[in-house]
Amino acid sequence: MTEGKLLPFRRVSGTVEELSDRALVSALAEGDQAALGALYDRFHRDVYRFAARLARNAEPDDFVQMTFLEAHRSAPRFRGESAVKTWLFGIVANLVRTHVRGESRKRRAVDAVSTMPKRPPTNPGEAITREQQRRWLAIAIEALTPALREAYLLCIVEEVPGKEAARALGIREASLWRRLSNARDALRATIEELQR
Amino acid sequence: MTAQWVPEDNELDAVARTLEANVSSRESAEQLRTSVLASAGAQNQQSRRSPAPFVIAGVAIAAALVLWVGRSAHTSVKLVITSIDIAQYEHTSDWPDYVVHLDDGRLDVQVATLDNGDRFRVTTLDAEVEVRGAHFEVGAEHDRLQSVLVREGRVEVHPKDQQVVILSAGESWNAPKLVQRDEVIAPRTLVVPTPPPIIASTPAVHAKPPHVSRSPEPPAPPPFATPPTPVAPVLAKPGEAEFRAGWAALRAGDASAAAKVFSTACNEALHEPLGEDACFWTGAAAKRAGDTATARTALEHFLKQFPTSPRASEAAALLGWLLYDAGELDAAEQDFHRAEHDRVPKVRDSAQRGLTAIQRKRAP
Repeated sequence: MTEGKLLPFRRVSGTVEELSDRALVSALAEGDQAALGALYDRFHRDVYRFAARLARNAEPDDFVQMTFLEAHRSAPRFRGESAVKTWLFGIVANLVRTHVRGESRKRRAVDAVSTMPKRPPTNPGEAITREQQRRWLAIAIEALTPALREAYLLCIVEEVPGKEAARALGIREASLWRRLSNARDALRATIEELQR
Repeated sequence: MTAQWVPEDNELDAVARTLEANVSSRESAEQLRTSVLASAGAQNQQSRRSPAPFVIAGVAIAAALVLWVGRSAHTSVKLVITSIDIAQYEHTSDWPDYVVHLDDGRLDVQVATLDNGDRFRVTTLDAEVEVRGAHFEVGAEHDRLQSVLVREGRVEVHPKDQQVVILSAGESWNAPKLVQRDEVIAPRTLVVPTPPPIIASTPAVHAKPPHVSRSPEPPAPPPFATPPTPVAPVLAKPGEAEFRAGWAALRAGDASAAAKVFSTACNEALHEPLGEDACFWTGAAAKRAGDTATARTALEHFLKQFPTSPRASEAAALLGWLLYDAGELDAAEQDFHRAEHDRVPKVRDSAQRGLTAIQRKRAP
């Protein structure tokens, strides 16, 4: 049985734009199409950005569309236990997991590492630019396994609180922290390899 | 010496947050928006395949919700639920044991003849309605079953402390209203002058079977002053009486007695649909009674006998806590993992709390 009493959602006045994120999802659960449009308007950029980072070799538009359609379908299940944005990110992560083959992706990422030109010899003391660091880190993130990548992107890059991120990914909080730790170790290892 | 970048966690994360993000063009975003809304509109029109259980909230007056579930290429629609006026209900379990829990209001339910092994039930706190192919209306108020009206087929009404009621097309059942301690006045719509020997009335509650109506406008019931003689039910399934007695004991607060009786029901009805519930409740009642040894045995037995039961995760969570208390953390962890993705939020939360507790206990 649910934790709280079930109540039908009825919006008695106002437009969807005036609704909170959660009220918007409730309206969507009741079949309010305007609510779906408003949800898209509010979050499509975040969803696009996250999908683009998570599935770098796939078309983000496809994941954006699938995410909002899945949100439309599963809105009745949304319990408000996390922020709506986190909920959407969780949908993206699920879609990427099932639609992108981890192994081939890892192979492409490893290829990316192996084909990346190694750093040219520098003069002693030459500072590494922030731009160079970002390039290495971007490659290193791509080289992460899917589980580590989604945890790192959600928690660190998108700055979703740990408890919410764990729930969105369907894992325990302890597992999330372990994945983040492993992700950072893996990133450092790749960055080190890129600097040889 | 060549400079090396060896970032600490903080620096690594800080740089990660500055990575450039891809953005879509405005035109592309607009096109995508149109596509999403069009597809969603089409989604609303079509029948949907339900891959996983979902929650249905009641809808406003005059906007009945029709739910199409279980459509496949080979079979017609299996189930249609329509909310009559405002109803609050929730889909708590999926096929093969499809359960809808009704809190308040009325539902119109059409269930196609089920395959072997499938069950469909509507539950409230105090009763269950089970069908294998029927069209009926069911009403509840504050989580108590109030009425069942059968339009087609056959419906079993299982009030938790009363005999099972079997209703055929045209028949209805209404909850009795308790007026004084040993006196019951049956609702006006529900008395049959010469009731059939289908229902056994409970002593001190009913004078004669007041629940079944066979005519569209049954006469008003007389008041009952003396307790009736129970009438034996026509249909008695193995373990059924014990199961009901177990429920009665549990509701009376005697979990220990309930566990014993459920255990009997479990043994007698092991290969009946009732057996699964009886075996589960043996363990749950024993745990509630503090009889950890019996609870553990019963829950392990249940999981072995019914590994794919909709209640398997719940049983695993209960067993997990028993093992945790016994210090068997590895075994407890396995059971909590089994339950952590259950569709019922309370079961998931219990499992996740268990896993957190184990982690804390293991921490140096």
